[in-house]
Amino acid sequence: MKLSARNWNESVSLARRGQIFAGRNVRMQRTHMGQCVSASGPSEFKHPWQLQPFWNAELNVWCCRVVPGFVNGRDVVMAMDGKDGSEDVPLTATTMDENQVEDAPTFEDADGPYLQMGSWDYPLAARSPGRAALTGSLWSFFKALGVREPEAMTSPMDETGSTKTIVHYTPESANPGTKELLSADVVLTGDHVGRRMETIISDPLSTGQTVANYVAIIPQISRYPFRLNAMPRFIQQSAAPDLLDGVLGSVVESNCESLLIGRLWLLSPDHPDEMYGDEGPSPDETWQPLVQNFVFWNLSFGAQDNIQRLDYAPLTLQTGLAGGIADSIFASMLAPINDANQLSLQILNRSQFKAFFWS
Amino acid sequence: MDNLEVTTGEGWSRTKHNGLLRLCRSNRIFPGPGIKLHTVEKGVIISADFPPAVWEHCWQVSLVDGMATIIPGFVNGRIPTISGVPLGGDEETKKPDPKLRIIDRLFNAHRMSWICIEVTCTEDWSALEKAEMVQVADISTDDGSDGGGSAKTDLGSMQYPSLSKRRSRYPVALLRKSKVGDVRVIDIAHFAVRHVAKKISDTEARHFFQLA
Repeated sequence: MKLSARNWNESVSLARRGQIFAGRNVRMQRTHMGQCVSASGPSEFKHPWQLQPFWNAELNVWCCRVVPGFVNGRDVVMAMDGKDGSEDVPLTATTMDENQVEDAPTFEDADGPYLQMGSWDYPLAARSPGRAALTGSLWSFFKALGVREPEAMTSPMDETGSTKTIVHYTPESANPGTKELLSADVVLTGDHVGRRMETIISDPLSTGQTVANYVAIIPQISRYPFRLNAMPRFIQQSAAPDLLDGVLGSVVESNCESLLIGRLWLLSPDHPDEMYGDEGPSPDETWQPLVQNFVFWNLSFGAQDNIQRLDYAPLTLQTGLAGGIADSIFASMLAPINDANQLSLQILNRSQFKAFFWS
Repeated sequence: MDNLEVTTGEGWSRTKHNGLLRLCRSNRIFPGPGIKLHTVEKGVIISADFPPAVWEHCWQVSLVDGMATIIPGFVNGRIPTISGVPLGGDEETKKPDPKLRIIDRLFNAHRMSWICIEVTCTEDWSALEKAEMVQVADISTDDGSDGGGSAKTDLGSMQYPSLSKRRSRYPVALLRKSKVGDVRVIDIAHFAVRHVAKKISDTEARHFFQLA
């Protein structure tokens, strides 16, 4: 076999590119068999809620463990696929807790439950929910890592069928970047009692001036009130119902609160082979995980639990005229006014159960 | 190893071939302490796992021979006590750092137990009368015994409890016991805390704890 100089040099070049060097927090020791890589960095404090992504080779999916965090001192659960389907597992549980493991002097965090990051947001696509956040210092950070320019952000189609460009990035020819980027969020949800209020004003000509005001309490939805979930993109819930909602007679107060715990970014290797649509690429084990934590300490949680009682005295007119017959006539005349007053107070009452996380 | 490349027409020598083999061999990597290597089709993933840093923070619990030592912290500017002795010891009475005996029966059915600050409010709920460190199987039961409902988490009592005699509890550490009997400590609180009570009735209040 004849080996050309070009092929030989390519082999040498390939071997040179495969050389490894000690980077940050890594120590290399050269031996006759190769190089021994050791971690030499400073120990890190593992704060509550810290995300620890890893590639699950058995399931062929990216997964994420979370350093146990607590809400009001209580454990938080996450859903894990087990033998009997999905099961809620506390963050502090380890496999060693449930299995009879002899000679197990220590526990390792690596035994804890994990979330499967099954679906991803593709923030480089124009229609991605996370596209708008990829600006400023965050974009500068990823750009320095070689991420390709995101698509121009567009608004949804208007009546004419065209889209309007809101932000436009000019690709820089000097270093356009070739890496793809995906993200997924880990979200903490706390359940509490919610409220739903509905006001119905009947037709005065057909059924009389009747105002019906229904207030329904929405119960907690989960048996385990604090739960971690993985989702492609966390979108902040709308604010608590305001006075306008009360005037419109359609107050709906959610029975859960959510808090963004952390965001896992995945960076593709250089030179991805394909171009992708809005769905984005499917990450594999060669992608590089980067973690953005948003919560660092354990949390407290409390609902306002604020039911304001109505101190309402209806208008009356007691005259005693016509042997008291006039009083009942006055009462019927005042009834619509009293109804309207009561409705106004219900609207202004603003009893609410909104809950908050704090540390 | 530096001059491994050849030019067109130049034959590659055994020396250059051996140099390339040495280069390839030197590129092999082996995992040292704290390193995990995972070989995949496209290469090798190197993961570094640093040991957790030791940070001596407030309320940190360490277990030795069934006795818990707790690093002092403050709740409303007061250091909690164990059997009347403040955490860290009492210089005036020369009493040493008190320890909390870990009691086996105070683990619930899921082999969990909590070390808590148990605060007692004054009669007008405006201040703290005392603060003590206790071990409980259930944060929400009056005597700290297993309430039965405290399994993975409590339902209906997720807020800080309002106990008899104007008490409440703030957990600082979770103890988890394995089936083989090892107890793992998971710290919950790391900083001094502030307690506020909102009176509901003469015997009941909503209790709030937050970082001081």
